[in-house]
Amino acid sequence: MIKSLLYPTPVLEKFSMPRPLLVILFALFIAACGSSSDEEPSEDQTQEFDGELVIGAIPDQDPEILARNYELVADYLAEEVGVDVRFEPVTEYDAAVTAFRVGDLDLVWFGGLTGVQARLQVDGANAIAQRDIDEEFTSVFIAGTDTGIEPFDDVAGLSVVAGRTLTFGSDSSTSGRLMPQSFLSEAGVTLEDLDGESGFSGSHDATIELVEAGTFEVGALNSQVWDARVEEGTVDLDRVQVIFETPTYFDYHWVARPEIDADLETRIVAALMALDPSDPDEATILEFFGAESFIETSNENYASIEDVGREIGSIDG
Amino acid sequence: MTTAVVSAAHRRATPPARWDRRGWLVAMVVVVGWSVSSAGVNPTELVNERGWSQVSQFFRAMFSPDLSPSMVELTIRETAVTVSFALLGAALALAIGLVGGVLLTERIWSPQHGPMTRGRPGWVTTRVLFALPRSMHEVVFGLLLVNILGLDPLVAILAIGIPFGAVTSKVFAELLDDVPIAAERNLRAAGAARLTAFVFGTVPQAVGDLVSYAFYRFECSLRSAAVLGIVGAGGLGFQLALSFQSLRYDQMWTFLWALIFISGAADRWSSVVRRRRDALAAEIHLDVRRNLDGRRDGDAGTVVDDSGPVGDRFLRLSALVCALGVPVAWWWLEVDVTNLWADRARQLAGELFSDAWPPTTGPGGFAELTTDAFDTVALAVLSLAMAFAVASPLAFLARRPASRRRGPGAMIRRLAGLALRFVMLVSRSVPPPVWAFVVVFVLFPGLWPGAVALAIYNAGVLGRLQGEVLENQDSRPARTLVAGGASAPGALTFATVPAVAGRFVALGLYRWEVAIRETVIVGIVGTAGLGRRLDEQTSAFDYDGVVATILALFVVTLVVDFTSAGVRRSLR
Repeated sequence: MIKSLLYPTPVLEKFSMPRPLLVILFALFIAACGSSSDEEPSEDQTQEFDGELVIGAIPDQDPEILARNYELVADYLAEEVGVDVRFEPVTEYDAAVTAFRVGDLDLVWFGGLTGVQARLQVDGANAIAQRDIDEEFTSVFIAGTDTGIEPFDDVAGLSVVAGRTLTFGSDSSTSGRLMPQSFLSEAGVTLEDLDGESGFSGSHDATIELVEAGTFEVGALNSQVWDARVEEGTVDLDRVQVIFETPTYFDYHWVARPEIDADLETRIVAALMALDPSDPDEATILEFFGAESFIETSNENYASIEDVGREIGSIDG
Repeated sequence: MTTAVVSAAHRRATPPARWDRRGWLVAMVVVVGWSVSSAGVNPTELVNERGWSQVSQFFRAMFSPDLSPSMVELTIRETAVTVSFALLGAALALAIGLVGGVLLTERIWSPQHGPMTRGRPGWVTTRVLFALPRSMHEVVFGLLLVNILGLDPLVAILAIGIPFGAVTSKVFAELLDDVPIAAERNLRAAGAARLTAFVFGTVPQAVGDLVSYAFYRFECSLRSAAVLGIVGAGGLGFQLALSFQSLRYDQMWTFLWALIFISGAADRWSSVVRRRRDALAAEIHLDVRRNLDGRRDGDAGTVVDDSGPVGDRFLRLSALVCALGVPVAWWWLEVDVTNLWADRARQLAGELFSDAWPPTTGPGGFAELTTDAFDTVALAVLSLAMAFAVASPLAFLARRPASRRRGPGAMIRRLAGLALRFVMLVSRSVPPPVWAFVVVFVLFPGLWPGAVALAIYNAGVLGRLQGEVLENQDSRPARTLVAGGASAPGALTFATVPAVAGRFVALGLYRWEVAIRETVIVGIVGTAGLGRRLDEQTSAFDYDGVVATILALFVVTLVVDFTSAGVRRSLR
């Protein structure tokens, strides 16, 4: 049928095609046939660290800046820890988790939720370090100035969002989705109470744009990104304002795969903690992370994130 | 399965009871009406006028793309990656199509004489097996394959090749079933085994059309490779997604221009190849006609073969470029096939399978899944209705004039046609997720932004396909009317439009089938339906939920395929 759509001329005959092409194509096909095996997983789970440390990060801000700065991080770690280090960019939060799960990324800068998701999918993975600011991270709710929503200080004030349109950032974001949704439910607002379906803008920056444009009345995002945008002067404060800053929670952290053994892990954590603001290169790294220093962390710090994740369905089971 | 019905009806010569055109027309109006009402019709609740400044910001960047040397270099490199993905994907689709097409024909499952009996269960099973990958968008394959292969170029190649291979198989099977059976019979009579007779008697007669179709698949692959990049497979789409995330419009347009350029080049190439081949085939056909009375005559096949290596230089060159391109692309992407059966892939496939089976519907249960499925249908209907309404007149206005007339009037027409063709090229080269993002600035969340985004994209694709129909249309009836004193619009209305209307509608229906699959990629901003559901499930790594959603999409696709086949049958 499609044929008759695509071939206006009714005649169907022979076409001269070089044999080698056919041969190559068949070879390709046979090669591809090997893929359709759904065999039992092999019992052997132990994988060795292969000598090259591939680091990654969830794409939570300008990828160009991410790439440039993670090159610095990679160089720094290579020098301090004494292994080859390479940065591999990804486009989505989920992709970062999946790449970590399959072992394409060894050490990843995750958000609170993605870090938990990643650890749940890889036995023996560890949260190893975080920034000083990650102990008390916050999100902001922003709203168009024409919505008439006045800023407030109490979580209960979030009840004004009921009956409004709202967009989150990426659906796997801790500060752009998980925690805001959790605070909303603390204020008695469920997603059903919103006007229409909640939006997922895909990134913190896009959330600001969409609220500024008026497509959504309210948006929720990472307060660090908001502050940076305000400082840059790329937000029209006449059109959009902060209505609420949330209480603090644990967020971003480095998670390491089990192939990174205790010794290597210690060396990596030590290197991160030794980042020195008086060294210009190291200062750039700290500045990029928006932190004074890195500190040690552990899996237990993220137990409450895990609970919230299960509650709102971002963690399956 | 749809073809089964069609060809069975052909053979029996007494068509089964079916709806006539009027019935389908009424049904179509009802379905479109239902879709519009489920999306909402109150304009004040739909259009957000404040968002225009953001939209104009996006389009202004079109004229000031980032052309810094490092960006240009990056763009060139990533363009090569995207083209390589598309080429290898299309090659794989062609290879699968060659084998799958044979397996899907009625002929190899039937006894030599008489209707299919014992072979039926095998044939039906094969059909269903091939229908499943057809109902899945390349992006869905990509998402699943990434879990098995990790960040590997094979992900994109397989994600394009498998679903496109299934589509190609279906098309090839239809081509094969249309081939006169005489040559095969002769071989059988001479003592050849059944499969041998089929492979050497029937298959060669349809391979040319298959290759020609593969060129069309290549242009689809290019667009698909761009979308796959957005989910992380690499190439232009990947870079586009990166600059998209931080809303660097100037960089986005650098990559979009590259996409527009390669997409335009591929479309043109594929058109020329297919037109030349059809012309060539028509010539051969005339030759055969001169020698024989009927095509179904026993010696038709032999005569064609005797006509020797017919060809035209352009076609040979194209075939050569493809033949060389495949290994070059392979090398450029550093494809390592052994990754497919590496221990890690096996282990991860096993894990994925145990995570994903059995499928579950999640907290909303079956009811929510059904609601989402209906939303998906409404989304596809809306988008296609809009695309059709825009593309059909555009196709007329934008077509290349057949005559070489000069003068200012003809000049203006030609320029207008060029501009419109360019607009359609842009609308199909920019990936639908990007359109969705732009549209959502000016439309409030709901079904409409997704529908409009898909409509913009599909209007570009549909307009091009319809334009091809027009350009290949026999112009004699219209010229006769003009010679008889009719005005140009009169000739258009009474000669050209009636002649192409059926095919236009058929193309629209075909795109509707495709649009159902595409709904999964505009699930981003507040759009409802199965696409959004899939997004949420993948971000929660809820694979048993993902499988349930994929099965729901499969059912919806089957229903749409059947309906569309029914309508198209009534148009014949």
